[in-house]
Amino acid sequence: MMTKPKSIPLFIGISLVVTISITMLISFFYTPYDPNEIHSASRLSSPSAEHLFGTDNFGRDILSRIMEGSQTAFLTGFSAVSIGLTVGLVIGACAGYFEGWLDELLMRFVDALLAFPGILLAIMLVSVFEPGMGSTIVALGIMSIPTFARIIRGSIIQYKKFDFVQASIAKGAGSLRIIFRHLLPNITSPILVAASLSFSGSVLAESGLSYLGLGVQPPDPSWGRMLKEAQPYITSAPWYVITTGLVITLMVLGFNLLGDGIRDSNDNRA
Amino acid sequence: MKPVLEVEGIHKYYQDKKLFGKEQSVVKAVNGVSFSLNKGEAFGLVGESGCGKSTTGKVIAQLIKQTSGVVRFQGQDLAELSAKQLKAWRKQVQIVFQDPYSSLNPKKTLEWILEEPLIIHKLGDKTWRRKRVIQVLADVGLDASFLKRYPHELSGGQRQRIAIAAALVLKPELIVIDEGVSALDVSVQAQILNLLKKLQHKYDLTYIFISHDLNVVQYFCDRIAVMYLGEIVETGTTEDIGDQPKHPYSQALFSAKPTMEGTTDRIILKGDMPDPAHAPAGCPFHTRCPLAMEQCGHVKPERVQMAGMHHVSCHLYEEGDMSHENRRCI
Repeated sequence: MMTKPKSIPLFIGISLVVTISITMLISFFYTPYDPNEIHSASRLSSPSAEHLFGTDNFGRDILSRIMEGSQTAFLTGFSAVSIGLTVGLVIGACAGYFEGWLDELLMRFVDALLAFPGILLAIMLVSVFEPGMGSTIVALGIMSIPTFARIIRGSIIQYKKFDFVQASIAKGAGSLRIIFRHLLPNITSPILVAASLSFSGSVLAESGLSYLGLGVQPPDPSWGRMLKEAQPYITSAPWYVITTGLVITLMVLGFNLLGDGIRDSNDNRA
Repeated sequence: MKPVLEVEGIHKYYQDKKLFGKEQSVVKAVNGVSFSLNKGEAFGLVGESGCGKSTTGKVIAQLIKQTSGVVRFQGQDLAELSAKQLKAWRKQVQIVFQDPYSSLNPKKTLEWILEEPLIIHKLGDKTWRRKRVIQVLADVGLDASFLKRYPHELSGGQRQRIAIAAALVLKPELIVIDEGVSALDVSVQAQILNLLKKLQHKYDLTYIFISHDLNVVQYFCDRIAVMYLGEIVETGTTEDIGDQPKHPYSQALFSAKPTMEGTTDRIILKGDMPDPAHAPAGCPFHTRCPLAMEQCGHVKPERVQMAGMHHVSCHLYEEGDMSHENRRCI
């Protein structure tokens, strides 16, 4: 599936995601400058051979900070998706497989979660607990539960009616075996799509929260907070806003295209 | 001889209940079906779409619970089994479905599919299970080279063979074949039917064969039950029903069967089968029966015995009424 991308969007998506992932991995070993090193002499210098993306208001290298910030972005995205997927899987699988009153109960809970604006939930959580990476991740994870729960429930209900599931029940298979061995392997595609979209959504939401000062706190670098810091210099040093904003956009675009691509090249061989 | 399976007055009703609304109409999918099966028999259930034959099959395999009535397997009432006992019981009754394209898990190899029932029931070790899987593959006419393949690499006939093999691997007593050959080409149908007959002798199997294809049922089954609107209207040996259908519905059904000579004097029924949510009172067939009498509209006909094992539920016939000429509709 991954070896031969059939569509251009999928190809672009994979390229973007791979490029950003590699940059993120490199940042663990190497950044052009120390991301937190302050050079007051070269404040807000425009992009040059020395500083590819220019420097910020403290004379810190923007490229280095963006690279460092990608770690935060990936960590929050990955953790939020993990939380959302795990909880969503349990809720969705139970609701879809058992149906009846349990389905009704779980899905109304999910509806309530869905009706509650995600960013508001995050703000609430962050203000009850202290702002920081941990609460941001938890808030974003909870936000992504409904998507996973609904998609998994729907797919499970759809596949449960297939004869191979009925035949397996007739052979004596228990609920757990049916869910894990028969149903989940057949619905990896929609789950991957949801995970990919939810990943980009979480990255964007993290940037948003950090922009508001409620997300990742200094000294952890964050793209969203960089945007906030760049705001006053939007006319005098436009590269600061543009480079940071562009990287966020490319990351979100990459994961969205990846998700769409997976959905389009649906690999269900019937 | 004690029957393998006894089905006594099973009903399956579906109630369309709204959360806050009042109770909706009741769909009577199966409405009082009774029959019993002896070991080694092939019993055919025929009828048009929606007559409840598949639901009956699923109740027998306990994939759905009956609303009321008793299913007894080797004298044991299945409703009395605990969850654990029911799981163990499932070894003995298997079901093979119509569509070979949806009856195998597309993400698993054939070896996995065939080994799974043995793993579920914790039978044997890895080497024994592999031997058993290869053996059962050979029984359905496939070789060990299929083990590592996936369902999408197989033709419809091969898939149906695998579905049968997966049912056989536990050495069941009874197999319910729910339209098992209807989705296949005619030439492949014949192969599968002959395979099923061969396996019947080898494994000492009892079959319930659900189909709308009268030729197939007549070829394959020893006994036939004709279903209409959730009820069995006539049962008897294949010869009884094939040659001398008594019930007007059976007569119409069998007159529509294509033959080599082309169909002669077909009985054309008017209208469609009534909605099972609004089943007519009295005889279920009276709305379309060309011989309907006044009482048919409100009195449900009793099941009467004709010759031997031939039973029919119709007001045209009376108990032990052997002298009656076969009443034709036209």
